[in-house]
Amino acid sequence: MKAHTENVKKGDIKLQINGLSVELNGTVILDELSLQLHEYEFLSLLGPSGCGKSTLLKTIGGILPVSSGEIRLDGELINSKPAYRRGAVIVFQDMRLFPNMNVAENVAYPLRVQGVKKADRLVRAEKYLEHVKLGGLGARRISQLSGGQQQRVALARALAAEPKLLLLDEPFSSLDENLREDMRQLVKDLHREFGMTTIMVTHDRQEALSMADRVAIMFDGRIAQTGTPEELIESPADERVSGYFGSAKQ
Amino acid sequence: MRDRLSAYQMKRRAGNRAGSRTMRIVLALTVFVILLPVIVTMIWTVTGRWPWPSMLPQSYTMRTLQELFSGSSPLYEILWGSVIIATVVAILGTLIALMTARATEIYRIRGRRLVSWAAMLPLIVPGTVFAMGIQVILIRMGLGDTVTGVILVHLVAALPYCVFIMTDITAAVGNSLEEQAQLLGAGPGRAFFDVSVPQLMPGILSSASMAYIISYSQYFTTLLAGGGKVKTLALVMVPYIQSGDRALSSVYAVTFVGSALLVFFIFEALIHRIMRTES
Repeated sequence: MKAHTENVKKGDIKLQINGLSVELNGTVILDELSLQLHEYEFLSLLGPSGCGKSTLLKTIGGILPVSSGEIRLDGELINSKPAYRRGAVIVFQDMRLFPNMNVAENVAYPLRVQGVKKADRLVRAEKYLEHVKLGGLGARRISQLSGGQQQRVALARALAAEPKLLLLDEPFSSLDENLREDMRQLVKDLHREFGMTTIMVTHDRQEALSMADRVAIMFDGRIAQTGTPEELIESPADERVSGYFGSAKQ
Repeated sequence: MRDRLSAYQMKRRAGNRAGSRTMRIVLALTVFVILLPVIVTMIWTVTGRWPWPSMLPQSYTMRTLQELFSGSSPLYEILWGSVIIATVVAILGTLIALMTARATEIYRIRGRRLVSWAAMLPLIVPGTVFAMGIQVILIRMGLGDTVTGVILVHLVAALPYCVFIMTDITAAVGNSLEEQAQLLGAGPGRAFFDVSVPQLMPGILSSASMAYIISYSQYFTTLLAGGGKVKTLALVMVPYIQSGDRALSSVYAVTFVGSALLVFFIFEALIHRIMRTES
């Protein structure tokens, strides 16, 4: 059923989060959260809205400050490393494409920041665009693309940054159901091709269970359980987890 | 930008026939109200005698133009002074406003409401009142009768408007694109210039234009802070208008409006060029 899980090479520990707490305006959003992620792994982060999933991604990415605890990427403590040096790229659900640049320039932006020459980076941007099946659309303006196409541009741009960690924040929630299925397939394919360690936040149970090597389920700022989709369904850690999967089980 | 948008919406709404007729009348009236005085003023610049009720002047003269170019204070000197002062005020005002807006809207500093409110304070106090107070301070600081002093006073007059404009657009633009750019590897400064500045540009332009025209048209504050030694076009123009020499007032008025428009035009052209070469 999940053909790709078998071929995934289980590597070293990529991301290690220990006792991470994050407070925003005096409210505790993440409460001594711990999580571990291996190289090449695809983890789905599941949980009800408001449980802190997006906050966790933003904290890993480096745009929210850590209150206490530690985040290690490739063994290195990155708590106070600025976002632009972390190499963890977030693809947001609102896509955040740059309206002042065309499609190719958007995808080439991470390369431009790295100082890659213009001709060179545009060639590479085109390659990434072909990967997301948008070859030849580089000269379009962002506003000329459909929602699904924009989401694919955002993905291509994240890939172009060659991140150590790819963080997807409900990437398909703004798309309609048909497109979503295509995008799921595309993300799976890209994960197989590029082998990037990935965390995907979602509140869609089926999506989480069908796409990921491992699923982490989150309640109230803590990880309630992590495991393979089978483990979570067959032996839930507590009632909240089993209750949450109740509807997904049939 | 908002004006342009609403004009566009109006144009769309004017799709039906009755609407478009009303629009045409409004447009004609607007042109009439703005253009007619300008034309009359332009005729007045070369008028020798224009008694009531003649439709056109009875005699023409070049006296005003001679006075303009080779009068007691030569035009290029005054113009240059005005343009420099107003440009510096436009740039500094917009920069300060931008930083204030970023502090209150993006970084959400402590006491940001107080800062926003304080930025509007100069609007409450009449310009003349506050100019008298500030003159004393300038003299104490050794900046009385200097260009720097005049720029400072103009800045205080222009800042409320600049802060208002920049706060609005900074809040609207937000920092989500900047965050994204940083996640993709751009340093904070780079992310700001690559991604936010293009979005902020309409506000930057309005704020700079606003500050420019406020500085350009300051009379009383310039007189006090500059002690009559710092000469600007407005400073030279106002006495002529008050003295009732219509021809001379007109020639200065036309120069005033024309030069301001010309500078705006150059501003816009420059910024468009910069924006194009960047992308």
